[in-house]
Amino acid sequence: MAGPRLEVLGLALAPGLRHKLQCAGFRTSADLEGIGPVDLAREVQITPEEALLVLKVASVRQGQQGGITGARSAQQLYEREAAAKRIITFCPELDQVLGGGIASGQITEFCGVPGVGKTQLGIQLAVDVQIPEAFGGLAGSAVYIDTEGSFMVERAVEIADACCRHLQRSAANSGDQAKQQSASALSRDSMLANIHYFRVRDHVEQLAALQTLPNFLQQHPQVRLIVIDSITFHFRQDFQDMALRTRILAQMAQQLMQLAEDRDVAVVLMNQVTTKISGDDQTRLVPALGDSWAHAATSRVILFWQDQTRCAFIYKSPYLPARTAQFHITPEGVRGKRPQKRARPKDVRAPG
Amino acid sequence: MRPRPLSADLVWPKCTLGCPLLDKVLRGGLASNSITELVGEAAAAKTQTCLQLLLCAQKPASEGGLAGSALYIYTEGDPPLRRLQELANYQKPSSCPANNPFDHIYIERDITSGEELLACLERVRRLLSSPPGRPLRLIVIDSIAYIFRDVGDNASVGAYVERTGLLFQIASLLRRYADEYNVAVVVTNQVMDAVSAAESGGKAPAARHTGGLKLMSDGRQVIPALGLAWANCVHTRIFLARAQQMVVLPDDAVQQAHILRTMQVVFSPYLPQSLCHYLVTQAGVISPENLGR
Repeated sequence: MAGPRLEVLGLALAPGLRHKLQCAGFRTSADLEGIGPVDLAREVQITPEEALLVLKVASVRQGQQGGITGARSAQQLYEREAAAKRIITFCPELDQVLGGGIASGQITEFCGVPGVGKTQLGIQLAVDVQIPEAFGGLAGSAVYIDTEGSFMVERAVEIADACCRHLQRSAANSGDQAKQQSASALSRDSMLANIHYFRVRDHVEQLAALQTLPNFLQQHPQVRLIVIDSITFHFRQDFQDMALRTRILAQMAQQLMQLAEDRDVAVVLMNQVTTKISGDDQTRLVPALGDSWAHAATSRVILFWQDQTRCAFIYKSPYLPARTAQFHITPEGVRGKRPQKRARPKDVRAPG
Repeated sequence: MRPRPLSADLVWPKCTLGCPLLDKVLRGGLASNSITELVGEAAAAKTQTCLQLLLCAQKPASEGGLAGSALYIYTEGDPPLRRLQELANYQKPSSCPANNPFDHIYIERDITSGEELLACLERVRRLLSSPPGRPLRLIVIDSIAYIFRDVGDNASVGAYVERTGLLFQIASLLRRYADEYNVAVVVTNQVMDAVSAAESGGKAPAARHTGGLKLMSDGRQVIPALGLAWANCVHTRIFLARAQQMVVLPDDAVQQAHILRTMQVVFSPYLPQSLCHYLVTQAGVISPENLGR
């Protein structure tokens, strides 16, 4: 092995294990080269599992991981990020301020008042993540954790139908064989089947759902997106002990971060907003769940109303400038500019 | 935990409002498995709409109803039973005219505080899980604002926090019932006058829970009561108001004038924002379908 010699005493192993290795005459990592786990186990009188661990730790080369497992260089991170596909929202302006769409391997949080479009955006993303590769999509599936009961199948059907129609139209216009083939394979039923819908009704169920996710993602490797709508609701009641709430929230944030990292999925959280009264009797809107939760998400986007237009503002992001985009909720789902003016739905007008 | 399979025919049943045009605005009526708020000032016909819903929920699915029974939790004193009786003559299911609508309406009254409401809702579980008659498919709380609105003039921040906690507990239980028993939940709420930022010296924030809309009632701008926290607890918010106009139905022999009213979808996971007009007549809440066409 080309790597430098590491002292056995300096390896990240249990002290007892290091001692046994020393006693058996293994002093540096070079002494461990070329020996199999079974032989090592016999020689040092340890279990084969322990021997395997010793060899794994000892064979770590310098410059690659530096002895800490899981470390990556900035170059590696950059390459991974540059190669990552993003989930588009179907609103070009919003995609642009998000840096091309929702990023994988990260947590993106959307905060906003009721009715501003959080659930609509969640359903839209759960559909959009399924866009086939021929269209530059991720061809993945989604996990949708509904904590509020606001996910409605009839709305998901509308959005899925509109997405299918859009892709089929664009495939027909392009004349591209691959596109036409993948677009014709799409249907509302296939799209609904690719949304793994969990309904959780209290915070215990919410934590349980998060616990099952690592296994679930192992069994469903095609999942590229996790939506939790909303992360907040069950944590705004039932908690007399705020310290406990903070601990549970921190744990939840860590689990989600790890999921996003390990499985390279996009995690999208919906958060409510709450009124904060500052000292001088001024009130302003802030995302719910407090200050320590603010660190949970990689990027935080505030959705708000400006007059009668919905806007999204990049409030926190490690790499995106703070910008605002307008978006609209149409019968087809989240869209950019307003659709052509149609006759208003048959309002009955008053006489005179 | 397992995911629930989704399919296009898993659409939640709707409860008709008893008027085809109003149903059209709501895409078939009020969604079950969901919480709908009717918000408006006094005399905006919130209670009239609730009474009509209590009767409509009993209609069979073929007539747009939920073929179930309904629970009416009335917090503002004596429930208007005579009016309910009157409406019942007009809202009978045509398939079964002999049916006595009062057999399928449970009434709960004398609830004066949030704690009592929560305790009452806890008891409702038994009615939902083992109903003595038809399954309970509609719960109406009229009104939630009446018992929650008064936290005192000089209420501390703590009083508001406590109120919010209780509101969330009630909402959480209602949402659980909605999901477990496919029940439609209707809650009525009151409004407050909107105070513009200029009038209050920059202290009052603009209302952010009105879907970006200016809600006008009788010419004044209003905002729903109970604040932003409660707005998070409902799925669909429908605003009822009077439109400062009187109309006479064309086929009305006595030329009785009715107040023109508006029904406005403020936000909803399945409905676009929209507005329609309606009237309250002796026969109930209807759309003036013959007008202005």
